[in-house]
Formats: sequence, C-alpha cells, structure tokens
Amino acid sequence: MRSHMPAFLLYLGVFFACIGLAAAPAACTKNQRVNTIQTSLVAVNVARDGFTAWDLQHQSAIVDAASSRDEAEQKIAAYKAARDPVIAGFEIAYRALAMAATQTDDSSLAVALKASSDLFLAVKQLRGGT
Amino acid sequence: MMSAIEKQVIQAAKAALEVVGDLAKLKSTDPRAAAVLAVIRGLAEAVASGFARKIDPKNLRKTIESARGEIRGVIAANDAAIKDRIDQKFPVGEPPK
Repeated sequence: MRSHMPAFLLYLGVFFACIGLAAAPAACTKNQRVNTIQTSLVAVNVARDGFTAWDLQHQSAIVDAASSRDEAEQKIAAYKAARDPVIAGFEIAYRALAMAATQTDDSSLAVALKASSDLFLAVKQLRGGT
Repeated sequence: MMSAIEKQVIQAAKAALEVVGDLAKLKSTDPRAAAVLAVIRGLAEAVASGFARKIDPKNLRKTIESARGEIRGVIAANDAAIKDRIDQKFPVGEPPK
C-alpha cells in the first residue's frame, strides 16, 4: 500500500515555499531576506525528507513486486535513471539558496526561490510518473 | 516581537498540523504511514516552535551546505538497503522463489 504521507510533505514544502515567495518583495530588508531564505531552506529540507522516505518505500515496493532478480534490478535501474534529475534538482536548489545567503541582490534570491519551486515540481512529476 | 513572516510560518505550520491530524486518522492502520507521520509531526512542530528563526544568519550558508550533503548520504543508504533486500529475496546462485 502506497502511503500519501511523502506527498503531503511535498505539499507542505510547496506551501512554505509559497509563503517565502509571498514574503519576498522586490526590495526586501536584510531580515526579510534572511527569513525568506530560512523558510525556503526549511521547505526544501521537508521536501528532501519526504522524498527520501518515499524513495525507500518505492524501491522496496519494486523489489517486492518483482518475480526475478533480473526484473528487480532492471526496474530499480530504470527508477534510478528517472530519480537522478530530482537529486540534481535538490543540489541546484541548495546551491542557489547558499548563493542567495551570501549575496544581497534580488536576482540571487529570485533564482533560489525558482530553483526551489522547480524542484518541488520535479519531485511531483517523478511521483506522478511512477 | 514576531515579524509578519514568522507569524505566517507559524500559522502555516499550525494549519499543516491540523491536516496531519486528519491524515493520521485515515492512515492509522498502516505502520509505515505511522512512521512517516511521526517524522512529519516532528518537522511541522519544529517549524511551529520557531525552528526557522533559530538558524543563525551568520551560519546560514554552512547550514545550507550541510543540508545539501545529507540527501546524497540518505539516498546512498536507501540504495544499500535495497541492494540487501534484492540479495535477500533473490540469493545469487539459487533459482527464483
């Protein structure tokens, strides 16, 4: 039975990211900027924890459903190929947030928030496509 | 005094906790769901209690880099657990069950 909990984590992440986006006016103060980055970081961390929990559960389900070693290995390999861009998305989002944390310009913050949003969509697509 | 964003985060976390409570009722028979729920509760409660505000702005970059490193480690642990699961279900040299 597939649990809906990791999906909920993603929605929670998107929810917090939206709050971050809403709280980032074009020229926000230093404190608002830090708060926005922190909120986005928490959202990405929540999404990461939800994704890794789902990843283990999903791979386990693939192995449980397989009738031979070859079938299990092939399906796991195919899943990992689909998973790679999502892991790269987490790296991009974290890197963008780290960059925004050391800058003061609006564009680095916008890039970080967009990377976070793109990541949530990528994870959602992976779950929807499996 | 709390800023507007802090109030928003806490309100969002409270709303999320209510949803978690509803999901807990729906999925209480699934032990895996219960385990994941515990994680969600912990995270949501951490946010609700002001976890986001406790990240030191001076160490923000370090905190982000550390969080970034964690995903590779957890994924590697997941993959190792799955390899063991395959080996256990389909031992090498034995016919399929």
